[in-house]
Amino acid sequence: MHSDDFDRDPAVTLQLRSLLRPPADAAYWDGLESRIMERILADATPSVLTTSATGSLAAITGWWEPFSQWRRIGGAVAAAALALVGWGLWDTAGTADRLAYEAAVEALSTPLDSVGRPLSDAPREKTVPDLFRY
Amino acid sequence: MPRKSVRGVPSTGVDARAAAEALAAAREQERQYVLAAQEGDTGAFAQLVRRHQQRAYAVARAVLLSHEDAEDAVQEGFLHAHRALSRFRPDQPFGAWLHRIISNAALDLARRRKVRDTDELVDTHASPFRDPAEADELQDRLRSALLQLPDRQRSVLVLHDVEGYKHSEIGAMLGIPEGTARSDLHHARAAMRTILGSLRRLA
Repeated sequence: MHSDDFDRDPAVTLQLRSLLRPPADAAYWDGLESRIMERILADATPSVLTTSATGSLAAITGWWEPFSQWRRIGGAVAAAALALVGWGLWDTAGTADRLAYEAAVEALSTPLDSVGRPLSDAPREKTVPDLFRY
Repeated sequence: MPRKSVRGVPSTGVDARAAAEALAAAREQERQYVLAAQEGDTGAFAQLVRRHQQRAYAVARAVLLSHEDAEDAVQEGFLHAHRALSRFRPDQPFGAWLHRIISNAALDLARRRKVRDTDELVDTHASPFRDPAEADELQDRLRSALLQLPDRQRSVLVLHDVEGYKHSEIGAMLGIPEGTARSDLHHARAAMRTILGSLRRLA
């Protein structure tokens, strides 16, 4: 006797096998297989199911199906276009910066006329020396 | 000069070798079906369904007891398996992987229908008080006793004692350690003895 069988009740096991006996009819298993495959096919075709003129269900594939082979090419073209636009934006920003810099440098290169301010005798100008005196 | 006999090779050895070769061929064919199904061949997946649906049903029935629920779980399980097929590695045994999915589907269904099962349990409690001469009396008691077991213990009991799975296989199927499957089996048997004993006394 197997070590797992020391507490097994053979009568109960026999009845359990009888209670849980699977269907013996081959037609049942054929039917179950069909039902399983129907569900799988319905699940694998998420597009709209419509009734055809003959009354049978016909799966209408998505409108995008004919274009699916172009997906990779379209992706590559989109990526290239994106890169081109990005480069254009970067180049535009660089040009704008350069122009702004040149304008600023040009403005600074003009000689500045500096004029010394004469000392004023106004009362406000005397405030600081007056404060330091104390 | 070539030998005309194969002396020294016992017939059982030849049979065993032939059986091993047949098994290897069957596995290789199954692997081819899996590979084809992974490429989108639904006919190949139908072959896998045909090969495995009876064992899948047995696994689901162990968890759920009811024939209708078991069938629902089998359908759900195969649907999940088809969706997850791209993640399956063909060098692994397909049956073990599938049975894990089926048992998960069955346990999910058992959880969802817990209330209904409880109702059924109340109904079947009345069975011990019916005419003991009825032919299905013992099976009614048995069903009632099984329904009183926790889902996992019931599954382990049926998978081991009825379907003949090993503890390691049951553990893999139900996602529990082998030792837990072993102890669940003994608890389930003890509970069945107690429940059936009390039902006999009531009768």
